Amino acid sequence: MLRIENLSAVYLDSEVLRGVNLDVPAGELLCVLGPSGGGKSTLLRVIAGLEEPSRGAVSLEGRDLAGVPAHERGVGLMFQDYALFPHRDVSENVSFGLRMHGEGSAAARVRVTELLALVGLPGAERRSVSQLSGGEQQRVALARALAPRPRLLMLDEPMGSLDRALRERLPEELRGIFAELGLTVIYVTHDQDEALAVADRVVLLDRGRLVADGTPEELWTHPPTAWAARFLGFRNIAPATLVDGALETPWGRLPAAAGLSSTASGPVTVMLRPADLVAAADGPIRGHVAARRFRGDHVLLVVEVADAPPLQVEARAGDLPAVGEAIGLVALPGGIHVIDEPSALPSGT
Amino acid sequence: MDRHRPALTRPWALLLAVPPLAFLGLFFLWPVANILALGVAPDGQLALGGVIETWTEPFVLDTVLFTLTLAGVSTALTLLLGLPAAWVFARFDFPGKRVARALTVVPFVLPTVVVGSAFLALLGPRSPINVVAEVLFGADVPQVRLDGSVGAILVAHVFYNMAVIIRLVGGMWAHIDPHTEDAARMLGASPWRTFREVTWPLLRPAVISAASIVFLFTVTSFGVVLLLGGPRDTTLEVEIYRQTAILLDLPTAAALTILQMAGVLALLLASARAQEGLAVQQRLRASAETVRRPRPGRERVVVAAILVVTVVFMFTPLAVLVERSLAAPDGYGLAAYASLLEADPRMRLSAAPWQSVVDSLTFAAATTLIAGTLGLLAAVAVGYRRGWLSRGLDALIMLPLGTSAIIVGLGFLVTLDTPPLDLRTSILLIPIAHALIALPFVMRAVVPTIRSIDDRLREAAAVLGASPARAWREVDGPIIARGALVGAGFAFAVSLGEFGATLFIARPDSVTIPVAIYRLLGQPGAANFATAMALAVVLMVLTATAVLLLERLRGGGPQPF
Repeated sequence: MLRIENLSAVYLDSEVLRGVNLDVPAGELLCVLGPSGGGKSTLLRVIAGLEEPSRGAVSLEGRDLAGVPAHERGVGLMFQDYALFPHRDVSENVSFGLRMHGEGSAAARVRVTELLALVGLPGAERRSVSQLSGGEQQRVALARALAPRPRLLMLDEPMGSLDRALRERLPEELRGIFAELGLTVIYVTHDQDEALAVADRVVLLDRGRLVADGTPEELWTHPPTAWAARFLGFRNIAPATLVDGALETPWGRLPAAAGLSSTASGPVTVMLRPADLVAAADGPIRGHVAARRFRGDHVLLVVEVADAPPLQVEARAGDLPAVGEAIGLVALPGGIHVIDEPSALPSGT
Repeated sequence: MDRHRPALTRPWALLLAVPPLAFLGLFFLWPVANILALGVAPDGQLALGGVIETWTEPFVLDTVLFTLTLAGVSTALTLLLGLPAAWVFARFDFPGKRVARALTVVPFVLPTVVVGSAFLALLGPRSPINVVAEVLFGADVPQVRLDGSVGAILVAHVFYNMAVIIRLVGGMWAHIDPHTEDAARMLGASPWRTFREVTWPLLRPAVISAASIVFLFTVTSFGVVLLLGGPRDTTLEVEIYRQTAILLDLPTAAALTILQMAGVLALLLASARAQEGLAVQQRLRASAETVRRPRPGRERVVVAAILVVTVVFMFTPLAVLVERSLAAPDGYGLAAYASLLEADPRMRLSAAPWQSVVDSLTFAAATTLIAGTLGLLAAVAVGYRRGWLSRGLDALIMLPLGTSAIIVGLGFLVTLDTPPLDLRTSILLIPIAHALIALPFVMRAVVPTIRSIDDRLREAAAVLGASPARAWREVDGPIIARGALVGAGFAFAVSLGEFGATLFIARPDSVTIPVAIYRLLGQPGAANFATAMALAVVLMVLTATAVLLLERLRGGGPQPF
């Protein structure tokens, strides 16, 4: 439905998008995940027609959008700061797009009522936008973006300024609304938990380049790069060497994960899952506990290993060594991941 | 909302308003009232019948209609040319922007005699248009002449007041959140529709404020009408001058002045009300966040076209002045600038022309001190409060801008002649008169910054352990100081450029630059003319420098001027 080919954009002489290629099929909820300043908002603004690309093409339903002004693209965009019209009340905000598309006022009134009910703000028509809370503003902004029935809806950090409770509840609600309307959605966020929770598919954008693309499960189980793994919140990442089917790591020699050809060799990146590191008195990884934090269903241990980055270990509560005591660890084979890429990143957590 | 309870209690506001009110009372209301009393009650008996008789004379109606039409059309044209320029200066970044923006203020403070001569050169018989036409088609082409017509007055009014629109409206425009405009575009609004439905309603209070100031200036415009208009183009202001100084008919002049002041006061109150009513609480952005380079293609062409029109229109008359100052009998040279340094009896100045630069700078410094202090007090009293006190003080301080300069000048001479207030020969008379005109600028520069201060900043300071006084000093102080700097710059510039009142009250031995220019222009000889132009260029450079220095000092933040 949306196709982006070799898209580059320049802002203040620096390239913020570098050759992005992306296909979004109809009905998909795609998350664009990446750190602040990675080019996410620019990508949305270029698709929306608010910025010009320096190279490349955007097409929607087979139609090249080059030269099509923003207001004729039929694309919805919900801004990070919501950008509600301060001089108009809730109903006038929501019906704005309907008026622009020539809808009659009676039909518009019906649609506004319907949309406010959909976003969970029934009866808010006459309220002033300056009196709305952050969550309410977000709902009005969503209703406003949905009103003219865009073919493609884009949301820029929609949870940006909301409190934790709302951040946990709203993604589910949003998913429900989008599914009900059968919308194609591009959802931009810097929060990996939010992205993995809400998306059908996630792409990672780093310094203007797409560095990963897959379903949440795929990315979670096989982060394609060390950077991606780190950004998704994984720890215990270090450079390693693959020799004769085994891994030379700063934490010692570990068995290579299944599926890797035993003849492969060379520099790679290794990642140990904190939940698959098990405390064992005679474990091959020797260290001592530097910190322990209670996390409800598990205890997080930080284990200092000589000449190696510290390891994070999710241990079952029980008979665990105290801070300062020695500990032995075993890495379960299922928890050892090899990323087929030399790691240039500094070691550590 | 109850969060917006005033940060200043009424007794404190009244107390702070005392010095500016006393100043206005002593140096504006009292002198003007004296003159009006002389006209309306010549024998100590109020003769209202005469006043009403004057008002109903047919020439008064004609004059009022002409004055209002002229001011209305001037304001409309200034908006037509000024709004696009304000947009370009507010929203786009381009090379040379700082200097160009500083230069747009220069016309605003140039004395009418200087502008008049520049426009005569551009619109008169030897204008570039006519010269080109003559070269191309021979000597018998009909000449295009705008001098001596309403057209010339309108062009000069727009030229003078562009800066008000660019600064006042542009100042607001630069802080409107561009995302609200983007949002409208995403919802299907064309660029023009976006402007009409989103930008315009958010901008409207600033436009009304700016337009009412332009209207005020053009209603009381004097020099431009007198110099460039035809003999039949009589505004209320010119008529008051004629009745007072030529026909010596003080009763008629007084009746007309009362009419003028009442009209101006009504306009000011209506504009203040409209601004309060239309004000929209909105999240303002730092101007650095909203400004960008024009996009290649159509936008760049439109921005460039607006810039070219603005620059050509505003800077051609200035360039003409520079050209004339360099003209020598045989080509070009710096002879006129050299002549600034020598006293020459043919110039009819008591000292060398450069002495007027020293005097002007001294007066300007004194004016800045007086108007800065009083304007700051008034701004605090007005800015932190709403309602009648705030509106009334605001209108009262604006009133001198809408009052005939000759009436104020005459009032000075008639009223301030008895000890202990015998100021007729005092060196202070000029800065006091200038301060009356500069006060509105200082106040209008500071009030919006006060109103823009987020209450939460003060609350944050309080939570961090600052006492209310300390919180005010740490939070409001620096923000107000930046506005005050801008106001001070305008006070300085207004004093440098003031002409009408100064001419009336200046002593022979101490003249300001505009008065010196006027005297030089009154003397025959090309050398005197070139010297006058050189002095005008010095005035331009001083003004532009002052404005540039201030822009450097103040940094960002919402600023009207």
